[in-house]
Amino acid sequence: MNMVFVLVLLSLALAGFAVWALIWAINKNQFDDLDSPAYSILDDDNEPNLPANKAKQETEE
Amino acid sequence: MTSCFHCGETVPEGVNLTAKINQVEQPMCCIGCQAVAQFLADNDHQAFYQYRDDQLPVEQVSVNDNDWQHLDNADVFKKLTQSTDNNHYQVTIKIEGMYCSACGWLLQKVLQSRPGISDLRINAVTQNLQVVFDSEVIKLSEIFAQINALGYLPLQQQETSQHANYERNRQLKKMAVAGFGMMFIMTLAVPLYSPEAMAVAPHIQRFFLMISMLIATVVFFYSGTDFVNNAIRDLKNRHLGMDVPVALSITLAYFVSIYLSFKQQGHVYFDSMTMFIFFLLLGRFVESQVRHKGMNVRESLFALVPVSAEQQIAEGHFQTIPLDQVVKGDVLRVKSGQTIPCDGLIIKGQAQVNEAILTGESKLIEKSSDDLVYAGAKLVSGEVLIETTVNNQDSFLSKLADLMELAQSKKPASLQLVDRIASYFVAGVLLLAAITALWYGLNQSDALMTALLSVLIATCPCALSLATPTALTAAGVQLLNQGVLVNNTEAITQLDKIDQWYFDKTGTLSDEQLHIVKSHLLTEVTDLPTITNSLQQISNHPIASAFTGYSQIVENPQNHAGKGVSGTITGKDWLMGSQSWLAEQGVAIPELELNPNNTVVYLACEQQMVAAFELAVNVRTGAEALIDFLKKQDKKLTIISGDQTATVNSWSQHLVMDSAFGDLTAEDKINHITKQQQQGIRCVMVGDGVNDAPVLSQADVSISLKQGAYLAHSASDLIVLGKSLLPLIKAQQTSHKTNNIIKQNLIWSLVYNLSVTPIAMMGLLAPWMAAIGMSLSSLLVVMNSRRLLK
Repeated sequence: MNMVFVLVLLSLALAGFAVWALIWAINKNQFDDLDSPAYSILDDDNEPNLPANKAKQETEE
Repeated sequence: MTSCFHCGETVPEGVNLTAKINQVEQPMCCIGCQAVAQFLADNDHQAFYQYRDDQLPVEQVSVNDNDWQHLDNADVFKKLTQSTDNNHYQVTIKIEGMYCSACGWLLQKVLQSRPGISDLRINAVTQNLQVVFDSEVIKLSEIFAQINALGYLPLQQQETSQHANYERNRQLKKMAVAGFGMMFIMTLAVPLYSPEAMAVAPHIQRFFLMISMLIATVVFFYSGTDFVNNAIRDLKNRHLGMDVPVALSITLAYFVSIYLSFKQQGHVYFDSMTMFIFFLLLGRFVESQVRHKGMNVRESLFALVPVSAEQQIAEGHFQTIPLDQVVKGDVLRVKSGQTIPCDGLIIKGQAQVNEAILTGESKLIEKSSDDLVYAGAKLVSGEVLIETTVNNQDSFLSKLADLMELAQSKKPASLQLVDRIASYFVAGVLLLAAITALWYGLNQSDALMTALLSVLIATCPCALSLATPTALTAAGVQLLNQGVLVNNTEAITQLDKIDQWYFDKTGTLSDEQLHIVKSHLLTEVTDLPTITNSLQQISNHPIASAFTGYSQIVENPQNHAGKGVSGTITGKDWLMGSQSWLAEQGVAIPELELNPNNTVVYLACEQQMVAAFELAVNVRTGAEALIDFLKKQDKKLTIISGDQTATVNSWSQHLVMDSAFGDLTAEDKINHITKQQQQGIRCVMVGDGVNDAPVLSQADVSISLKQGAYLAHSASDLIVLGKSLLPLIKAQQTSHKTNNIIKQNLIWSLVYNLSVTPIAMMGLLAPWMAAIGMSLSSLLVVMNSRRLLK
């Protein structure tokens, strides 16, 4: 029967962690914009004409 | 007809601009679009066109060559930015014209590629951009200029929206705690409800109770305090709000449950309490999300005026000071293209001023010594020294804002009614609860708590309070998709009940763009359009926009501000401008049959009159369709305008309106609408320009068009984003549908509350059942409202 005590306390700790994680995310404004971050995965970095990348190429050369 | 690949507007005739995107030449409508598209293509940003999901920008923010240098002034810079660490500063910029995620993507890409930007966060929903930058590498003015070059209008951010954001995060956190607490307590509650069936040992039962109590305490004191505080405030004001029975039931449930868990007898109500708090918070969150979408009058007002002014410290010496340091008696310099920072008297110089923002009149006004100029007006050409006549915060523009805030604060009469009904409802709930408690106390004291809590929870007007706001949110989202931004959600329900539609003429029924309506040709000239277009390229006067198309190079171009333009094309001297100016230059002007309502531009070659063009504004697209639609619905249509009566009447006849009134001041318009309202006629005003703002506030529902002055938007309930009036037909239909949905929601929630109350009073309903029933009835209301999205 002692297992129930352990499991319930464990689940309480898990729930506490979940609440903490959620509050952390809210404080970091993760829920402000739900649309545009989805596109960031499509961002390519290998675009040679970007000024920043151009500068990088030049330094490599 | 081709449309611009970049912005989607129709490409004007004769324009032959293209930009190469992904190896394909795409049509462009103007040089601005071409420049932006070319910039995107040259920098590998053409993916913008893939990401934007066929969402074309509904409006174009004009790219102006604004000078952002004043932002680098030390005092101004300090006001706008916060220091993060050495040399790094954070600034929040509001981006006008950012509507989709593709815009956000574009800004992010371009700005991040600039050296000196260390962090960048874009919120496409609130249109805010947060940048952390190294002030030694990149200047604040350069960031603003870069944003502007992409076709967006950066505005320095005010504090109010950050406050709204903080409030939203606070609500989210409370919901997170209540939601997790609810789930946990429910899991523990199942064995507590039927200890026999689950064979739960008494010491485990006690352990579960203590855990539940611990969580419920956190939820009650973290998430539930708002309800209790609101209820206390309501009672202090001798007002029965929705929060009174809510606070009563959660406090009662919490403390009674604590008592019972220590006493080890009877049911506890921690589960019902947390569930109740969570669902209430959810409802409030939905409601407040809608409200924060509205705009703040002052915020939009101060976005118009520059943040700094050039003050004369000694003859010929100037320094830049922040606007809030400007006091009465200062001498300020205003250059061509700048916005006048403060009301004042011109002491030196002359200028052409556009006061459209204040008067709605788009014609330029000549101002010289001893003339008054007003804050917010734009200096189109010339340069003046002004002596300010008032302190910065007392300007005419501020007074207009005061007037509007006053008008806005008086408005929500129907909301006050809802409040009154709600307080009667609450009084009824409390009375029923008291009767239940009394009866059980006398007859069956062991079932008292269960019945009392069930009554309080079951009769909670939750579904009732969600019925209207959810339908309004859904309608607001639907309208936004159709091109109408909802500033005041109440207007959605009102629009359908309107009897009388009022239209302003200039900029509302009429287009802002001038068109050539008639050309009087006196001598035969080959390639006339090319010549006029080329000449007008020199000018920055609004009239020049009527002449667009292919142009050629003009030698010796000269722009005579307010008079006309001159230049040499293929060896011939051309003059183009007003009648008086041409006469001054010695051109003989013959009598022509001209319509007095039209603006006339004259063209002369080698001192010989060649042609005259009559210019007028067109009827706005969609205006005729809207008028037809409204006529079929038996609405009365009237033009009220500040223009000359003759012009207004001819427009009224052309559009087949019911009546028309001209030569009205803003006050006359307000009086006119007030008179109608006193007879019980509900009015809608469709207008534009700041002088209309008080009029818009007076009408039951006000609608304005996006490309007008910013200030007018904040006063109006609905804002049409595109250039056409067609979305208003959709708005009217959606309004009708919304009213039906609200009626269904209200009937359902009332029927639910009325039928469940007797059952709860009989003690047949456990509090957790009441809480589930309450949530299900709320869910049904939300689902019904969602139908508006289709």
